[in-house]
Amino acid sequence: MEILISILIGVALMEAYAWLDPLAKWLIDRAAQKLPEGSRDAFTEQWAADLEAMPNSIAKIVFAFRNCTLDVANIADEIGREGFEAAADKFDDFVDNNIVALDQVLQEQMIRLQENERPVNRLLSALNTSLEHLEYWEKNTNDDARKAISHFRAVSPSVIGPFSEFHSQLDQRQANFETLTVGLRQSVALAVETSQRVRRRLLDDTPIDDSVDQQLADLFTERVNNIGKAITDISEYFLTTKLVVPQNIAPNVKVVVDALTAAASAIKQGRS
Amino acid sequence: MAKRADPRLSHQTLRVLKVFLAGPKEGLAGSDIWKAIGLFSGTVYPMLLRLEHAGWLKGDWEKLPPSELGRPRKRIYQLTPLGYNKTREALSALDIHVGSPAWKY
Repeated sequence: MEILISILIGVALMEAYAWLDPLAKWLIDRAAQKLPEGSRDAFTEQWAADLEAMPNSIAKIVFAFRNCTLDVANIADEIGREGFEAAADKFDDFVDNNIVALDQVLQEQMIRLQENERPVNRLLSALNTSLEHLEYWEKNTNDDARKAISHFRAVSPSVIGPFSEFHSQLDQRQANFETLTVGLRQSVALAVETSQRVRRRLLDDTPIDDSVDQQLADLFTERVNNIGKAITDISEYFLTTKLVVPQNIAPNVKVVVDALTAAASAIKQGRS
Repeated sequence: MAKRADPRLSHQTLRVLKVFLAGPKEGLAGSDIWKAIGLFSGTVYPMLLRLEHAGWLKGDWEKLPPSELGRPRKRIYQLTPLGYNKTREALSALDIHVGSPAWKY
């Protein structure tokens, strides 16, 4: 009987021993499932290589349990920190390489818009001032001068009209541009603030928490995406809205300038 | 380009780095390191990740496929020139002598 029991125990132990290697492998696979998806395969392979270096099946089980199952939380935490840090680094690079340059381009564009507006402003204000002055003289001069002034008044809308239209387009464009640029700067400021929160979180040694830290990661992603949206809005605005510049206006300008010169000369003659 | 911060240099991290300085030029696998310093792999691997991320270590999988090796591939870590200089700097700041004395050669 004792011999039979000994044999049975021996067989059971041999059987159990045969199961130790697959059990160690199973523990490794199970531990790897607790890691972020992108790191699972690499760690499974690395741990499998470590397992092979173990002298026997008992050591393999001890390794799999102590180094993989119990320590996987540490590794997941480190990978989480790594992900956070990589995202913050990537964002800083993005700001350094793109946003600073883009902001400069936007500022230059704004200056160009203001420069475009200046001569149009000058022309319109010169024509309006001339009209005001001529209105005064209209009451105090002879018939020829009044006819000349009336002619000027009749032809001037052919220039004032298109340029006023162009001027209001420039105004509108500046206002929209300002809104879009402010939107972009606000998005960048919010993302920078979140990036700093991520950096501060990395200085804190408490383990990465799936629920709380995921919220921070999501917020960061959302704010970085908002920058992308703001940039898309700006580029779409420029691609879809074109300035309609007054075309073939030179002959009209000549007619108006001639009419103004004629009116001035008629007033001068009337006075003399 | 955002400058990578230097990794935290705990006592254990310095021990890991010291193993690299004394180790073979062709690099070390994770198991070589944790066996050499008697730490658990769960402690060593996060350190290796951190050092690799900081650019102090470079990790590469063995070139041959597992079918030819007859075992799973190992990831081999090597000190980069940056890691080498930084490690020597950190260890000499602590007055820890590394390598063999010059008169031995």
